[in-house]
Amino acid sequence: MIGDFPKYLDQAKTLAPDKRTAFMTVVVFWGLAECVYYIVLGVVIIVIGRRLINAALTAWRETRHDPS
Amino acid sequence: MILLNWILIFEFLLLFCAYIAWWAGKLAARDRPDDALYQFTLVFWRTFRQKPLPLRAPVLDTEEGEGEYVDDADISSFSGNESDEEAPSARRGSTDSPDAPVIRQSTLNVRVIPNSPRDQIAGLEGHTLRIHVMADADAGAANKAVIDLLISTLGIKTHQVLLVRGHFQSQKTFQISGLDQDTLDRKLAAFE
Repeated sequence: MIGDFPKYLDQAKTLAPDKRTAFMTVVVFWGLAECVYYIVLGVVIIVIGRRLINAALTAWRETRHDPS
Repeated sequence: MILLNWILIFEFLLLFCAYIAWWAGKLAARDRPDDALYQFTLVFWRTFRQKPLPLRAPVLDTEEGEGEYVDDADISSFSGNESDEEAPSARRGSTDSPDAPVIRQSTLNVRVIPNSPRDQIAGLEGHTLRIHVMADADAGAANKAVIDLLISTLGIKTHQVLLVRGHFQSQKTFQISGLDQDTLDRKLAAFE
């Protein structure tokens, strides 16, 4: 959606002025929704990823029979 | 679908694998309780959920009972409303009393060097105590030697020392009950 934004702008130019406003509103709000989606996705990935790596490393360290 | 979605799917896949491994480890642990896979997955999920390590009930430091281990029933009775005649332990732990017992606990980080020429505390490196023990790092012999050395050095009793982390590592964390952190730091300052 965000990558296609220039295409939608070009498409908006071909529309009649009364339809263009509604079209751009939809485009902008979909763009915002997508931004929020990917920000939340990023946060979730970071939170889960950090815990996952931390847990795996801790488990590895804790269960490793250290010869030293 | 962009990369972020795939990363999220990959993370969930890893978590699912860890869940399967936990079940497999649980099955394997029926025959061998010290199964490596089970121990790994146990520590993994415990850390992943950020659940704190299970700690033994703290030792309440009292005038008459120095370093006495108090079980959960005694601790719960401290906050109860029993009369003095019915519950002497409640009287001992009453918070209304000016000489109410205080819970003293401290944490001690230790780095153990097994197979050393003799048992000794080699010094304090930052917040970590370096300990040399003659015992081999096998079947908990080094852990036992470290605990014995701590007991004799700090002047505490066996039940006051609890190994909470690093059972199989040279880097270990002990919980010392009945000794607050300041007192412990003062005692360890001699090894700096």
